[in-house]
Amino acid sequence: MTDNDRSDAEPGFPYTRRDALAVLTTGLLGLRASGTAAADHDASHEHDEDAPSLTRLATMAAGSEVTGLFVTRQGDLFVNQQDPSDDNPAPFDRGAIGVVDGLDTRELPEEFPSQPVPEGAERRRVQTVRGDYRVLANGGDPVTNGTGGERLGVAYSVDGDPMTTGQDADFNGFVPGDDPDTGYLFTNYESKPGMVSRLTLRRRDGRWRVVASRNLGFRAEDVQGTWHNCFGTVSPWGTPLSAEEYDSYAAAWYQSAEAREAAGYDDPEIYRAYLGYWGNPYRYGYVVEVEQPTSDDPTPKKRYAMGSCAPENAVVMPDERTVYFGDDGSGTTFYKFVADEPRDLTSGTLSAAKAIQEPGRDAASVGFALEWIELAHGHEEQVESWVAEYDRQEPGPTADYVTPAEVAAWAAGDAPDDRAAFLETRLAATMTGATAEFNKMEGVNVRPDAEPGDYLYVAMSTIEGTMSDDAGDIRVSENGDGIVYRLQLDEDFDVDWMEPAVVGGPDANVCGGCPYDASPAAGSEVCRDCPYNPGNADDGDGLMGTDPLTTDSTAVDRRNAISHPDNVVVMADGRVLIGEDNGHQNDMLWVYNPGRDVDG
Amino acid sequence: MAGLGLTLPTFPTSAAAPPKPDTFDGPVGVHHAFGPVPSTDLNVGFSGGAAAVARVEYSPDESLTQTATAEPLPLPGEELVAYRAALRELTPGETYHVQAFLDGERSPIFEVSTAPADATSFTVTAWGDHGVEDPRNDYKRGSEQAGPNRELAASLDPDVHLGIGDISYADGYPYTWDRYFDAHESFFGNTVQMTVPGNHELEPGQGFAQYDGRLNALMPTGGDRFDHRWYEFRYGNTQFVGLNTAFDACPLVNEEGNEYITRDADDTYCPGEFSTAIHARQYRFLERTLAVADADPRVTWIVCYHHSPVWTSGNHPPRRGIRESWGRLYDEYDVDLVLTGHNHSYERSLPIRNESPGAHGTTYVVNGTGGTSHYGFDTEEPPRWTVVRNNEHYGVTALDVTEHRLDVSYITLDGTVLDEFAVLKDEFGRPTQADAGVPLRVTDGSRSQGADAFTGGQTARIELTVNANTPVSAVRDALPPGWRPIAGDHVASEGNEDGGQHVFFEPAPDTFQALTYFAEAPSGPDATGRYEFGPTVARTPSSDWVRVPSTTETAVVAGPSTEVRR
Repeated sequence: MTDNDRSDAEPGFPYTRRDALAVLTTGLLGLRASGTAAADHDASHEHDEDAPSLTRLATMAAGSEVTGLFVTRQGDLFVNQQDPSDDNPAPFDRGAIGVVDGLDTRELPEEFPSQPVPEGAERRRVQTVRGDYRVLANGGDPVTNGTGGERLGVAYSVDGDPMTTGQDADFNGFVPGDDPDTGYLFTNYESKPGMVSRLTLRRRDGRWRVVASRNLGFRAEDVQGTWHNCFGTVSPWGTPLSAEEYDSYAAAWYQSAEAREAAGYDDPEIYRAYLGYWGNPYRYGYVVEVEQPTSDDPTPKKRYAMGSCAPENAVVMPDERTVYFGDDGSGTTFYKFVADEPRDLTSGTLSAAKAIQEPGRDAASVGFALEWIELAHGHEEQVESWVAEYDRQEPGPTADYVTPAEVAAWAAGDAPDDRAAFLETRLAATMTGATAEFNKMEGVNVRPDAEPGDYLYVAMSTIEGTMSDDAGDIRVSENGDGIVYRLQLDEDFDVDWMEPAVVGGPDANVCGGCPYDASPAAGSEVCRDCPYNPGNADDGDGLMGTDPLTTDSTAVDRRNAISHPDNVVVMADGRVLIGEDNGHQNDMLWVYNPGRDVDG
Repeated sequence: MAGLGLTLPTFPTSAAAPPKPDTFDGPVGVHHAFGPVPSTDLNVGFSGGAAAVARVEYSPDESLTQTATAEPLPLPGEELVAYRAALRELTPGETYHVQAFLDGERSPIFEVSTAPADATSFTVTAWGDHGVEDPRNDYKRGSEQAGPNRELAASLDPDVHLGIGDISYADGYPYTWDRYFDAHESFFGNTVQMTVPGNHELEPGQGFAQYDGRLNALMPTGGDRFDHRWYEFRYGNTQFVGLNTAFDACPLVNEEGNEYITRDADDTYCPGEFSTAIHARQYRFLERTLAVADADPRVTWIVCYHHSPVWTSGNHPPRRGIRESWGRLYDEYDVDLVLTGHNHSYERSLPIRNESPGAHGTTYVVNGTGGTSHYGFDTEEPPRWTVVRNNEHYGVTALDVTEHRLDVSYITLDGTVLDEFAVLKDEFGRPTQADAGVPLRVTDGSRSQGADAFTGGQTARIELTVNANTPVSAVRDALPPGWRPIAGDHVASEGNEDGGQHVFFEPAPDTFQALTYFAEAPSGPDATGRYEFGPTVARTPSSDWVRVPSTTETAVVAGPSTEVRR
């Protein structure tokens, strides 16, 4: 089923892999930069200790996806459990914000035994191979600054009734306090209405403790609530960047009550209850920056000039101007925003990617050249004023919104202003020729202080639908377990090539987590076809050696490869944490080591 | 104690024969301390001749219907006997009438109160180096102000008084102890006094014997009076810890081969086997006490007190070894306040953590102005960590404890409040100071802008640092005309009188600030020229702007078509 034979190259494909950039690669682990992780190995099944590897760091409690992955500069790892099974024992039965005590990610050896796949009662708890997972707070706990019984992560109607449960903790963003033992942990709640909370943390006896907790306020007139806050990052200047995964569109918002009911579409009612008035469909789908995060008044600001889509998260490059963000959903787009000034996301140029697939169809190996199509340059004040024109409209035929025809007119250069580019960003991108075919584009991340030559990683949770059909720019084979792609940064922190780095499921290009990582004598037959399994190295004790099991196997055990990658965090040393969403029976947290360039 | 190197001393042969002591007919020098549970336990001490019947009579009203036997504690070199009575199962927050009884002789009736069960608002007074006038004692220095200071403390009506070492300055003459309690009975008879020993409690020929019998025996040390001289008690929302810094004074050996304490032993420390063992025990006690207090939800504040200071710029140097050991515990457990004496001066530190001053940490206060002389300071200028210091007054340190703040003042005999500050908890639960009165001194600063020449329109990255004696919460930089701030840590900018821009920062309060912002150079045909940056200024919430040293800089802008010459 695969087709990665270069001889099939279609004539005229004008792009080459960007091997030339290998010279830009910097030290760190000496991570390899040349070629691609996916296509450059042969099938010899001989483990190469310099080759990429994958190690299972943790497994979640039943029902919970891996969310909130965040690594601090001091090596702390925060992990959340989102919506776990009620049948789990406390505190694994409720959505929670957690930390792995006793783990310093900076001290993680290059190779270490994987956390085994949990069995029996282990399935009901978070299991970590290093350190101990500890719940810092559960969604729904009383907040410490509340006066009226307010609860953590819960959004309240204008009448004060709880509208959400706080069980869906997602992104964590840690902002350091004034010394290494203090800080603030911001947490997203992927609900409608959404919410962001802040825990004030202090480390005593080596363990982070919660000294205060609060929810942020989203009722300002230029905010009007928030939406399904999923993943995020902390900007290089220390502000949390939340993201509103917004999957609505204005026509549906304004249809009649009967039509909404028939379609089972109740978003406008939710936001009416929240706001006390009819909301505005153009108030959502933005990157939300929390200004003054360490103050008594952390203030969420929607970065209107970055456009509205369903951003899973945005990540700012070390130039403090270039920002990448994906678009969750099916048939979506990859975006770049370049701020006019460093540290200021209120004005800049918004672009969308046009993907040009290299020859071949094998999702596990085929990459895409990216061309950036500039949509528009925007100032927040201007875009927000356009948005405000649609505030407080009742649904019905008289409601005004940006119609597809108006977006088309804008794309044709016939619009009086650029509002279409910012208010209907995905449609505007599509109409200007950008690729709107990505599928479940999730976390995008780069290592702190990344330099040209380093990689940006982006998770595509499943490869199917618009990516795997026979139409459009992207036509690769299906992979229901998903792929983490990588994009090498050039001198300007630009990217123009996307290629598979970690392939999930039976087509995995790297797998790990085999029991014999930890127990060489176990004799398990799982993961037989993992040529890059870190456990296969001959360490001289004769037990691992050239394991015959690895030379004559025929299939990858799915449990030893990633599935449904979602949260992606690149650590300072270049290794990548990959969290799963609804991939395995117990979702897994992996450490992907891209290996090193043995010649370099 | 045998084997630890110090035996109970005998009189040194060098000590002069003591003059005839005071004679007292009945019980004298009534004074009190809390027993193990301050809300229900009081210990009453007094002295007098040997008696067949010794007791304390007490009751909430004046009926004095309850009695407690007084146990005699013989004092070396004294005709008088120290007595100790334990009053137990008292009512919390109750004022008791108390009278000492010795073979038919009675003291006046005094009134003393137990601690309320859950006090969140109360007053504490404290001093070190108090003393009493006693012209018969050759060694006594003038303590003329000990009486007036006692009256000042009494006027503040404290719920507890802390006597932080160097209490009577008897210095080997026990009758001065009798004089001390007699002279100050009007205060100590009506107020609980909790004490720790100072170096003068280690007396020539006596060792700690007098202190042990008269005071340590009343303290809730949890053991025999010679067991140790440290203890803890919780008063409402505050954990108090009394510690002994005189454990390691050098004993000498007299002609009979007995060890004793010389008058000159002051500030001479012998890190020998004995003191090491004592120190280890006391350290374990402190660590355990602080850990329990830290975990106790009833405890908001932790106040430690010991005689010798660990942060002082007075003539007696700080006890650095103790600073290194106990200081780590003070840091770890967020001790709010450490009260000391020994240097006859007043000095208050900035919050100190990890042995350096900052926005949060433990506040150290020296008050050795209880009533006996003044000492000088070791440095002409106050050190950076010193907020206030003074050696011209006698006075009382007063703590007004409430739920959310610990207000501290230093009140002198003429009624002047020479220092006033509050200890608060910051958002992380760390102790910090709220201070309305510290004059801001900016000790150091810097400016870096990457280059001294720019092309028109180029962006300069400007980095500023500020070092101050007290936390700075606002900083303002000055950009020359034509330059504009474009991004960074600043919160606002506005045109100034020089035609340039003031750039405002509002960082989290700290004594050290590092701030970064970006500014764009002017461009166009008129932009070429020389530009003056700064100076930067800084302020606290209560101060005016104070100039930051080393923050002026000159830069050249060359228009886009001009080649930059350096």
